[in-house]
Amino acid sequence: MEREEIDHIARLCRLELTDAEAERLRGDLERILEHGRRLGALELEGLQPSPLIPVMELEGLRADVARPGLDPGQVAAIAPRQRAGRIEVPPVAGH
Amino acid sequence: MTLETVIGLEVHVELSTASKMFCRCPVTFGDAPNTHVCPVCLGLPGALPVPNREAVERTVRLGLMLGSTIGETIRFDRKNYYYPDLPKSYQISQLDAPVATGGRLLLPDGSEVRIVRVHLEEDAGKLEHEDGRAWVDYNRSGVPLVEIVSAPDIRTPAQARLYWETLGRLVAYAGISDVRMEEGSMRADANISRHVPGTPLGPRTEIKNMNSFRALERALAYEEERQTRLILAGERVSQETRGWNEETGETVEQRSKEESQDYRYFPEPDLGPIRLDPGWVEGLRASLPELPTRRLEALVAMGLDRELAELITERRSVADFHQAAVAAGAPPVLAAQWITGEVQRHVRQGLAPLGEGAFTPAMLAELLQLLQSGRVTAAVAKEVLPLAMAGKGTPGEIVQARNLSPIEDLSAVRASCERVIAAHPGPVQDYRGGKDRAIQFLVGQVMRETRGRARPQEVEAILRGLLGP
Repeated sequence: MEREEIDHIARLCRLELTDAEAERLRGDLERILEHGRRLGALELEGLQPSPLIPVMELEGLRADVARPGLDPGQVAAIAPRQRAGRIEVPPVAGH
Repeated sequence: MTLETVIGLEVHVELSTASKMFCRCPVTFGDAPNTHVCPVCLGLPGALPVPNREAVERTVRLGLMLGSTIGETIRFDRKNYYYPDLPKSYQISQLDAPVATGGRLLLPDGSEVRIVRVHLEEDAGKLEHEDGRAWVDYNRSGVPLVEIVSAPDIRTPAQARLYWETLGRLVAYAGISDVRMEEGSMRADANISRHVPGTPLGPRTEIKNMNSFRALERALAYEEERQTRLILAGERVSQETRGWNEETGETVEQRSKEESQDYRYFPEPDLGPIRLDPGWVEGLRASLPELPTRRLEALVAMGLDRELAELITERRSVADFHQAAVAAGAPPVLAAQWITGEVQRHVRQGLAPLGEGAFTPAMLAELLQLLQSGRVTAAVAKEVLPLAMAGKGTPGEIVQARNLSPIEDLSAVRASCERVIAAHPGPVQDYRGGKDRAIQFLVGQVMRETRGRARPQEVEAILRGLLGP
């Protein structure tokens, strides 16, 4: 895998990598790709793709009925920081 | 060098369902941040999505109204990208088995735009930046969102606007969204390029996230000109994403966006494919409302001018009310004029909107028939309308109970005219001195004195007789 590709993926993930980190991830990604190549080499001629979950019928879907979500205390408990109800998140790189 | 503009639009519409797309949190607008959230729409580990049947049905209905082919088995896919308004780091969307494909939208100017696809996905939260920090409200996260992708059939910014307006009207007619532009419930991305006709398409720029018809038209006009300038100067237009700045009236280059392969789409493993029963789809097709463009043409054929017909068909509730009033015997043009004029004026002043209060289409028909047959004057009809709209009875009952029939006894009208002449020597003198318009003031005074029950033409004739040549 080229370093360029590693950098591109890091950009998509909004990650800044040191050279050492990039090298370690290159090894990880290579192993993932190798696994994909092994799957790709399987003989699947004539086989239909099977859905991971059986096909759902429309009647099986949820009726459009609302119910209250979490109460504000529960949301506050899982939010690292809030301001006037809004949850703080890391600022987006390049904004 | 003659250049042709090629525009395609992606319109996003939030559905006005009661609950979100994959969880039961309510769909709301303007409530306190993060008060309608749950483990599913916050993307907490272990939470599983369950699709909203109504959202699927509404999307199918829209597809049918656009003449699209409805998928027999539809599927949801994960679209992966990292952005903090998207708590799962992926959006559940549809890639290659969308709800509907193909179709077309007929515009009021007679042109036609082909539809590529209509698919269902979930909206993201609302991200705001402040003092170098970022804050999110996830109330909007998971709201059902329909994306309608047009073919690149649009040729001018004005046509792009007309397409979007027409589509918005259709969406409102189909009852799938309340289309509140000011709340951002309908937004559009536009692709635009210019090229010499007969040669391959030029590189296109994508303008993201416009939330008004005006912004779309202005942004496209700006982009059309910018690209032309580059092409004429022999420079390259680069394929990029641009944002529209409403204040400066310019588009500006944005950070480079992911390419399609970067989204690493794959079938959503938490949801199976959904089979749409063809019999059920046909049932929906049979219950579709008439297309607004067709209704507009029908109204024009009834004698309404185009502008008036557009006002009537703008909202389905208004168009339905007009149609029912005409069916109950109201003259089509007069009914349209009253609905867009007097009736809307009272609605703006606080009376119940058409179709919601006590006022029925039959009542409007009755009122206009009373007016046309001379059984009430126009002034009285205007007085009766708000009473009927406020639930005080039918127009006939109101006229009778309040003794509002025209004064048939001309001697009473004459007596009123004499009193007005005696009370207003100034205008009388003006009239006699040749200022013919002064007669209208005197007519107005008599109408006031008779509470609108005198017939204005009769009043004017009597006044002219009394005042002499």
